Amino acid sequence: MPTFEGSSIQAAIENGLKQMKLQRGAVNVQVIATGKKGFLGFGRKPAVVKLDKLPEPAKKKPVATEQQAKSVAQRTTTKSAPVHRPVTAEIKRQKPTQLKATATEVLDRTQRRRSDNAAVLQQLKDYITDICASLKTPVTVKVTQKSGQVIYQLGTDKEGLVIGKHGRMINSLQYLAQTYFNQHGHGKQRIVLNVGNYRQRREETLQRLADKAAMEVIATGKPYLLDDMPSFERKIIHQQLASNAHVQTTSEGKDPHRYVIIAPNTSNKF
Amino acid sequence: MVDIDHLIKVIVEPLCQYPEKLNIVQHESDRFIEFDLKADPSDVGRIIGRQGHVVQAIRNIVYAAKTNYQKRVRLNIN
Repeated sequence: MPTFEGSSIQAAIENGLKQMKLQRGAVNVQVIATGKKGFLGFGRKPAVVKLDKLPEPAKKKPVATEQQAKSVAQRTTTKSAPVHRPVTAEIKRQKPTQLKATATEVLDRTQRRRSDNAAVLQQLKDYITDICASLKTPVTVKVTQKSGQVIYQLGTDKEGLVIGKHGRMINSLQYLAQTYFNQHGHGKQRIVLNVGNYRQRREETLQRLADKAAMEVIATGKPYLLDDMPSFERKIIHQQLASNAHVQTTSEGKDPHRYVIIAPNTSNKF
Repeated sequence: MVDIDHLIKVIVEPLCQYPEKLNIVQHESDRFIEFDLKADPSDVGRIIGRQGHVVQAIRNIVYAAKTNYQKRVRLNIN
């Protein structure tokens, strides 16, 4: 396996081909050193390539060697271009039928998954009703789907019991429902449980709380710590105050005792 | 009044791969009514959950249930 030198990789290959008296397609090129141009003749290093003579040149599989040569040429001429490009091109050229087959397969699978997911969401509904029934707080469940989230609207005459102190019950149920879906379903769906208009009421309360706290932070110049909240409630606070240039919000602590800190904005002083 | 044993089963069974191996033993200590939950070793992780969040949610629900015991309920997993 001889190696050859040249001022560039291209030149080194040509040099080698001349000496070995071979065509471009009949060798396998391996770049050992890319070479350096140097500065004013100092620090110049030649490019070094290794040329292997292919065992069966040209005649038996002309297409393959041609393609290989092409891909090698591409690799050497466009140094910065990603090496894998010609390979993928080859795959596309060689296996169009197989690709088509896998595409329909994938489509089938997504369809099956969709119907699976519908069944899982139905089972999840039964799961929630079962739990609430054994808690002696029977509920009726209505399911509505939005993009990326599924809302379970619970109807009951004992709202307070289902919500629990600080919404602990409904949030725990929601977490279990999410866990159930993650185990049995496919893909990503956010499961949201709602009782009456609890979530809407809570959102309004949180927005008011955020605004009030922000006012106080601006007035006193001191950071303000809110109570512990689950992630989706913290998100409401963050969103509410995102447009407020005078304060910044961060979360601290470890779930489930994570809380929002509202602090005066220090990043852009005029 | 809520049947705690039944409630725990309803909550935990769908989360398990081997629900038939679930076993709940009830006994009384000086301050609590204790429910010892036994499950297949591969299911224990599922019941406890990442950072213990799942078991925390289960306990929240179980402890909130109204019972006619004189003592508080406690749920152990092993």
